[in-house]
Amino acid sequence: MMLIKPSSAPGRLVAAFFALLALVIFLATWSCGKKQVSSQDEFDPVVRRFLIEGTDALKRLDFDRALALVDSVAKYKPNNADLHFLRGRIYSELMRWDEAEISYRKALDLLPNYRGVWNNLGNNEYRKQAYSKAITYYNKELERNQAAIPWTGMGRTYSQLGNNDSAMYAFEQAIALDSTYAPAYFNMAILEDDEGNAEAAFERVSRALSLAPDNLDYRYQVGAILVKMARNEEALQYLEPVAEARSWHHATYYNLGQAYMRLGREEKAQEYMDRAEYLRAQDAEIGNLENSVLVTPWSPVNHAALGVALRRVGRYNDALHAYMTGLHIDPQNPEIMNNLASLHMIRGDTTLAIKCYRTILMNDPFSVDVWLNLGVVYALSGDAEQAEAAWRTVLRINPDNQRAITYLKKIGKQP
Amino acid sequence: MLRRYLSFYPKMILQSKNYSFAVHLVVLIITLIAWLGCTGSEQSAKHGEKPDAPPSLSLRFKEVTTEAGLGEFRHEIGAFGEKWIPESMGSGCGFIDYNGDGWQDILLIAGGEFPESGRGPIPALWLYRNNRDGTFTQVTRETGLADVVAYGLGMAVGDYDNDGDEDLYFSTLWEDMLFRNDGGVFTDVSEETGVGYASFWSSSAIFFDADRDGWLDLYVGAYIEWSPEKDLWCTTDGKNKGYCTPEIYKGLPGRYYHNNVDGTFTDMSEEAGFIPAPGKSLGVTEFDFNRDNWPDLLVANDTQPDLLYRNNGDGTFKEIGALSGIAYDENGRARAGMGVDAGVVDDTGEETVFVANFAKEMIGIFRHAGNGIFIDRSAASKIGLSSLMVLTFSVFLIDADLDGDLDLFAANGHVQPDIEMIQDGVTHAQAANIYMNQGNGIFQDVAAQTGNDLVRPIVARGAAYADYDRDGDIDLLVAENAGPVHLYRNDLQEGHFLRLSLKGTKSNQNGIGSQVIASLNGKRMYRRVRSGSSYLASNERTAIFGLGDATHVDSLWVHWSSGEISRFGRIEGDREVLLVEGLDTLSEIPMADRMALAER
Repeated sequence: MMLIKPSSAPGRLVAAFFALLALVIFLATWSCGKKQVSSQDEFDPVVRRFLIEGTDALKRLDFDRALALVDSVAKYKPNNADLHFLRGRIYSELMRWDEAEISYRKALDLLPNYRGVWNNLGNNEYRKQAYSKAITYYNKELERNQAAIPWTGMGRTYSQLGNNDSAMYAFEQAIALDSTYAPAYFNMAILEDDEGNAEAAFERVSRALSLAPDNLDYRYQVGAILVKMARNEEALQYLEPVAEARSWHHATYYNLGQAYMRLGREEKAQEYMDRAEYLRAQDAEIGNLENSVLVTPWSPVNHAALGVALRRVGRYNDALHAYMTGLHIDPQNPEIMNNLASLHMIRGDTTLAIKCYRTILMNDPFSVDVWLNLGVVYALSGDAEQAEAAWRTVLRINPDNQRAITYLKKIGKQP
Repeated sequence: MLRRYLSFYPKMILQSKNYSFAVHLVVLIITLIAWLGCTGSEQSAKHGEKPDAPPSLSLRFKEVTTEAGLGEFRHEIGAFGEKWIPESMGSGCGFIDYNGDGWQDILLIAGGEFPESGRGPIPALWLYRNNRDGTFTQVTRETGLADVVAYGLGMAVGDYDNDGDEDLYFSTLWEDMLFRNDGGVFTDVSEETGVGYASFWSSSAIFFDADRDGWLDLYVGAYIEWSPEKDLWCTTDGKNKGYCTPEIYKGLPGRYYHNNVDGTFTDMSEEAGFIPAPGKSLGVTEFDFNRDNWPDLLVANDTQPDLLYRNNGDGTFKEIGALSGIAYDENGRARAGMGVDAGVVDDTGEETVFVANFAKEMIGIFRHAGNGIFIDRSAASKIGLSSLMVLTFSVFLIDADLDGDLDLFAANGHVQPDIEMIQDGVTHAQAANIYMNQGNGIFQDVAAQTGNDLVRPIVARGAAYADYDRDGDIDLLVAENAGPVHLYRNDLQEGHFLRLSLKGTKSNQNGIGSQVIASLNGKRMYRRVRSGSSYLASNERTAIFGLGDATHVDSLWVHWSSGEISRFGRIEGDREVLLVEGLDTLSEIPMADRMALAER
């Protein structure tokens, strides 16, 4: 930059010009790590609509529809970074790690500073237990985007590697950036608890709960730490609401049992411990199935089995995820479809249940059990005509089917 | 920051007398800020400062396996490509004074071969006589054990017939064996005694006097229902068969054999309260948590709740693990559960139990808090967190540095040979830990400070302790899966000690189940004589007290398992004494020349 003596009016103008130029350069480079990444097509209404619908489909765990919408955008705007990012997210949910990585990297090729990509890649490596790689990816995210989320991801990963000093530092950084980021406090609490600092753990997790009072995981953790601190009466106030909301959460029942035992209320303790023991056995099975799914994510059978186990304990959202993943891999699998229909029925969604049964029947129109179940769903949804039609179809296939006969009689129809 | 910068910038330009300098400075500042803005702030997490190293230790462990004459031994897992689960479990090892000369001999278990491999059987047991000079000589054949064929797993030592010599229970993958020792020669008496006839995968065993009648009873843990025909296919990579873990197999309950006093046993598993049980047991020890002088049993189970059998005072037991709080981790999860031990590690006088667990699981530590309730001390003890990255098979309590406090030794090694490919941060071969008790039940791992030998990574399984060279400090024996054995000599150069051998008259001959309490400067130290702890292993049955700088104990009590109590006043240290039940006097057993040995 040429420097001149601004002793004259023109000199002062030149000085001002260069000062302004320097300021512009400063502003441009200062914001390079902070500029919000945006797609060049963000204002294209078609792209926008497809991506919003795709995101909604992903939220509903309708993976096939989500991918179809993303593919539609790809035909229309193949160099749209957002579509690759969304595709990466979908593949991540399906545990199709390689494809997820390809999609995320494509997004980065198009927009090198796309916020969240490296973080999500880090999350995927974490889930694959490739912790060193996860750290590398979180670091890359932080190079571009100093935020609480990647710092917390990094902290969680350092914990897994047994590097607790680094983990604590990472959580502290997250909080320094966002003092209202509850997950950072929560993870710090876990770390403090593991280190035997119960008081500090209690303080941290209480802060997390104050920031997110509806979070049942935080509420449970407060209660569990109170049991550890022998503050059993207080613990009950936190644990009992969790047990009520999550009848499947065996750790809550276990800690309630321990708390009541220490308060001398043995009968109540035994009640909770019995429930905990039942749930523990279920959880152990779920854990094994989750491991199977992690090792062989391409197996629809494993996802289906996991779904059944989750449904059995009342974890319906997680069961839905497992079934939808299984169906994505094997769309025509009648067993998974049948299980999914049952799950929809339990959740009161007769429309989706009917859709599932109809899909099965398209491939296997002689399935007696499915026609019977279809009839039941129609009956529950108040459509007696369709219910009758379904059960009469059963009798055409199997004229002596007692269940169909009974069901027809129940709605006042002769077999 | 920008607003503050902009607010003073015009003033700086207008007020500066040297405009050229001002412009130079502004450009420099802008460039510097721009550079910082683009490169970002610190990216890596700070690796925090390491904790202060503890004061330099005089504790040293040196591996002396080869010079001791144990170098020839190798454990065989019998692998031939099928990846059967028994291949990952390893075997135990231990100390037995088979010839009654007061010097601890060594018994090693060699694993075995599977007939399906087409390879012939191998000798299952290797017995080494202590030559009293730091070396051992193999005496397997002359002691009658050379022809024992089995897929060997664990051992328990006890004088079940009260004839004065130590007998041996040998647990295997199929039929167990009981060997009666007659003057240094072993005879298989499985059939005539009524134990070991059933074929099932058994694990850790323990002789203990359940009904306090002076005769040792026997508890044998059982693992899973497995056979080559029932082997299941598991994978860690989705393609190739890997070693299964026990969740997918049915557990087998342990067995309790009551000593009939006539040289036979009766299986009273159900009557005594040991059945039903979830099984998958790998570790067992006895202790008396409620101080009623009746031996209770702690059983560690793999992926099943750990069990606490409280003695009802009549030789029957009630299982109270879950209600007591020791069955699960703090979130109610069952953990791996391998080796176990129990002892008093702080000044509460209460028993604390230690349970070895899997990688990513803390060593379970629970202290009795009264009324049959135990509190979780894993994290608070400072052992828990550091044990997360290792898979611990054996744990036991010893006063390694002879300062009076019980320290914890942990032998580690993973079960999956390819774990490093699957899980970052976890290795197959792992270093041991020796957690030094700071005096209050808070521990610190000092293995690295004891020399290079203990921290050399191995795939450890059974481990045992004894003062094999009778120099007063406690040595370590560690068995490796599909590998050699490791004998670590303790070369501690300071600290006084007192060794107590018990001989029962109303109690069983070994004094098993007796609690010895020494008082020193107002502090009480507790030791229990028992035949089982750790994993598949057998330790010396002498009560060993470290005295630190003191040269004597102020007083001593023995709560014999029969219920008798012996009291003694001051006892001088740096020796071994024999206490006979019913006698008020004690007699000295000559030690080795400690000075001579200390010159190595």
